[in-house]
Amino acid sequence: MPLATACRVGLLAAVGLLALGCEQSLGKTVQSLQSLAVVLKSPSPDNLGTSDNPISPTEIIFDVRAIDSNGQPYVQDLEADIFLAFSGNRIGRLTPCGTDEDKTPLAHIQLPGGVATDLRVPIARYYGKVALWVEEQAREGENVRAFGASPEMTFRSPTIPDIQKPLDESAPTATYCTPFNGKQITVVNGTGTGQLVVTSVFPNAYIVTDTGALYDRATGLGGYNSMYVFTFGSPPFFIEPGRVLGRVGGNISKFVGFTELNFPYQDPASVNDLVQVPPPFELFASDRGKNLMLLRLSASTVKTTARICPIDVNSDNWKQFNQFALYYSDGICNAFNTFQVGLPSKVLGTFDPLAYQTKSITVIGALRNFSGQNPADPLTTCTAKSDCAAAGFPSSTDCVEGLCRKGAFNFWNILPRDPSDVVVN
Amino acid sequence: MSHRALSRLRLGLALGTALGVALPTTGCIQVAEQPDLAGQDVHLTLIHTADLHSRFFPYEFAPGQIDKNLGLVPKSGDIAVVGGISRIATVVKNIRNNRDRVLHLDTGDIFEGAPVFNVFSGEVEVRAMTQLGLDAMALGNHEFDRGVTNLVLLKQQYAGFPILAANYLFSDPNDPTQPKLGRVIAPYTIFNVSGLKVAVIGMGNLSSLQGIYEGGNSLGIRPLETVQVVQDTVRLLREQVDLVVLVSHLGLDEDEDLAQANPDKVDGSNDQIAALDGVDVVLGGHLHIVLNPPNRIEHAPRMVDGKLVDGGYTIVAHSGAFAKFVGQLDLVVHVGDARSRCDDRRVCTSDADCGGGAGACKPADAQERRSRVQTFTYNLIPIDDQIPEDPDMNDMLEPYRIQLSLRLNLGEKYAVVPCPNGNTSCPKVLRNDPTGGDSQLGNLVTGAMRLRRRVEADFALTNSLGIRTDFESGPLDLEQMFNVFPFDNTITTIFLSGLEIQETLDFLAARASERGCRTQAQVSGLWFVSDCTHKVSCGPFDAQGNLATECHPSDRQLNPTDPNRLDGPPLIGDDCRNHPENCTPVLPFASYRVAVNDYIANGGSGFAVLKRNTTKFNTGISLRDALIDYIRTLPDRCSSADFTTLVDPLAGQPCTRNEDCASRQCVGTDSKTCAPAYDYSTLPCLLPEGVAGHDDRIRMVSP
Repeated sequence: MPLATACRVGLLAAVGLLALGCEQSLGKTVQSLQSLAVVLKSPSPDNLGTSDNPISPTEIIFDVRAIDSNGQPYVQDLEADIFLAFSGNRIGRLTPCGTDEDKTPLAHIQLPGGVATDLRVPIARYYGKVALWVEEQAREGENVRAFGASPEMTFRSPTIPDIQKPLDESAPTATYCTPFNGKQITVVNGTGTGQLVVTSVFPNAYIVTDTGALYDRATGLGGYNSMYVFTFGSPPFFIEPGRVLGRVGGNISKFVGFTELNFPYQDPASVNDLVQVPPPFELFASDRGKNLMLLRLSASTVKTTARICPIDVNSDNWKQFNQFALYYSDGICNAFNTFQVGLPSKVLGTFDPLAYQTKSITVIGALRNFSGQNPADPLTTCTAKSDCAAAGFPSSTDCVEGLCRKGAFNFWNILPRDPSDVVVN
Repeated sequence: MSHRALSRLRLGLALGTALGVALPTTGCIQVAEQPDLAGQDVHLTLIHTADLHSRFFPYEFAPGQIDKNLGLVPKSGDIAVVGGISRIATVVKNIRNNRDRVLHLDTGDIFEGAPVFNVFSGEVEVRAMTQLGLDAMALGNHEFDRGVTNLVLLKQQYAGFPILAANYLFSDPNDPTQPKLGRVIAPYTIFNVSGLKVAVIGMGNLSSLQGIYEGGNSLGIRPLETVQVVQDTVRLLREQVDLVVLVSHLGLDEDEDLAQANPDKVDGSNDQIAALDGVDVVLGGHLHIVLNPPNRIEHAPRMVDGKLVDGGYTIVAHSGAFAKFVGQLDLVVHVGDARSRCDDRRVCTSDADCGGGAGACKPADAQERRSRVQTFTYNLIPIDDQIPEDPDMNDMLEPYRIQLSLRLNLGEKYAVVPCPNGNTSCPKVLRNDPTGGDSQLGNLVTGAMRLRRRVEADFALTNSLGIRTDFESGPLDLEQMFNVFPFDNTITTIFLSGLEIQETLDFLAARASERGCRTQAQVSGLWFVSDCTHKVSCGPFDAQGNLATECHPSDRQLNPTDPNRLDGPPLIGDDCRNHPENCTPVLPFASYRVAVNDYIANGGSGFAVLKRNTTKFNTGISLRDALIDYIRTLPDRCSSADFTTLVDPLAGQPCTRNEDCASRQCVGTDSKTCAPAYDYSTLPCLLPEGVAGHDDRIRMVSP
């Protein structure tokens, strides 16, 4: 490029600046209250943790001081709410489904003379980068609020079981809710000495498993250790079964009750290491309906041997979703009471299920739940189950997350990865 | 561009910017009394709108699972009434009333996507955004949809906000033969928001502008190297401002690359530069996605003053499209300060000021001296009918609304998508089939193209992404047609050999395999297998009819044991799955008359085979018109006894305009009410599984 042209470019930039008036002053009249300074006492400001050395406090102790437009103390009585800025969300107390967390602050505080000291909030199940978020309660006649935040603290990263395990396993929402819904998380470690291993790969997704928390049928412990990572297009080139990941992160989302990590980022632990993937967990007829046990296996690789139920080619189940049910010796083919197989298309390699109806197959694949409680129609808000009864809904209608909802549903699909996952016996 | 040329460009930019900064300091900065924010943690809210695509009037939409998860839930049934700039105005006003420091930034593509654009060419969009108080927007690729001159005139006549693109080099606007974009598009702007200085840099789109890389293109744009532009511009601005925000219409991958384009990495040994952050926030658009919460791109720690300090991070936010959501990014910004402070943050000059012993008054460290985002929260606000419309914005829109209704005859219905009695979930005509193959709406659209008089082709093919939305359940009027085909594309006929057809299908298979094994085209009159493994079907076949080998596409053979499997070459005809005997295989050296849209005919979406073909003839027939004419002549009629949605549930309710009624029939003189029912039984009945049903004409084979 000739220098003259370059200078012309520069001149254009200058003209652009001039045309813009170069700096635009916006905003309202300067308020006397500008901000709320948050001063951490514990953890110590000198040790707020790093990714390599995270901290794990059980409570945070801090002061809050109001500051005026000259940077000096603002001496008037105020009230404020305490939240956490966690993973891009302003949240108070965690809720089972990760909803309405911004409506219940961790604490509500008074600032007599603009100062509050030695405040304490308990901390549990928050991971990664976390900061205190202090928000002034709107004053009489004032719409504008003052805000403040502490420096960020670095707590330990979550494991996959931290994310997958429901807040309350006995709650009706357990199979389809996680408090981490809508939050960005990064997983860097397995449980104990476990690794983060890619166990399944699909055309637009893959599954990563924490090998340190495999489910043990004998004790009923472990599990919640696999996560479906939705990549939209093909997964990155290095994603293949057995690949050990050094890091995987993204946004947690529930898709019809199934936990997905969306818009992911991932790095291999090293370029060449491939390890043995854990063997598939075998499911039997007696496992049908054991939703809490199956939840521990959600996204894990499973295996079962059963017969293909007759396929109604006009059903949505087949026509739209390429799904068919399996039956065992008792002949149950109702999708809600048995396992289903979900194919990526009507055929998988040369396996065409229409050609093998009532035949026995052994299928290996990732276990995927479809769970939820649909809102009752019309949409009705509630605070208790009795509100739903009063609105005329049947007694099976629950009040969940502020809405009247029909009874919960759970069904379980096995998703083969490639043609070798299906063997006709 | 060579390294030397880049260096000169950088020098030029530096000179120009220095000049630009120096000149106005003599009198153009008007800074009223500003607070002293040094050392404080202050709040800034960024309101983010993206890819509004002319959805400035509310519209009906059946949210899928993802939109429902994001909070867009219909009050009743499947259909939500979403979008509309008057509702967005209410949200923006509310935020501005409750926050001291607010910037509203848009990331481009406010044009194209609803009838209001086709009729008024963007005037409504620009006027509305100005009335909204938009602070700045990025230049999107659809801003060029009515040409450069249209954009320049709208900017000059109506826009009260800067439009930004730093990564375009514009041709000389003083040259009478060249477009005038250089006069109205700026690379960046700087805001002083109650004492907080924020630089906003625009990034225009590169991937979707056909021919932008070709010299002398009609837009008069030369694209600049993206990362280099960001690094250079950030270096120029960083020391003048507290925050740097990119408004980008590049796409998510490019945005994340930019987030990592931290100038500090260029020369980490320079403490002065290393003490500065690069880009604090990227607000992105173009892909119509939502990142909730935003991505946070961490930067590596740096050495500053001989001490390893946190490298900071960049926030990347995308806030959806079609006016379904508004993003609200609340930042707490630590404003840099070199003054000494006590532990409780009071300014001090000596230890005595802090009431403590030696060392109580601490000089600012490297982290304190720079401004940075301390922390952030993000709130995605669904724009639905829970939000009242802003009366001021409605007043501005009303004359346009009346003209639109008159000129487009929006009351006319062409067909109805019925909802069977007792169904809690009404079916819609899908543009994407769950199998990844041919879709109901794709089959309908391509059928309309192929069978259109004066087109009459052997088969029709259109790109899947050109069909922009589903047909929702209910009556179909011109608004739905514009929603499906917002672009004014036309049908082009073209003659292709069998080899060219196969090459096109192989290109489609490769594209599909990159995109979750989902077809990137829709067809009528053509039946084929799209193999996402790239393993094409060849003979010989074994005794079970399974493939024995894999081979080159040109060696494909019919599967002799099971022609229905369609593993062999593509077939031409109708209903080839059930009646293969009525279909003929595509022969390599035969010639076929094909109907395509003019966008892919010119090579759009990568259809290189079509681009180089010289037999193209643009019929001038609009795809939208072809679709309307096709569906209004469909023979079947719905029975009003069978379908509940044929009766307007709002019948008798007061209304002021047709849009207030499900039937779109607001009648009466003094006190208007919704008409009792529209007699849909006279209209063609568009059963999703009927005339347009998915029939496996494109069969996807997964790996």
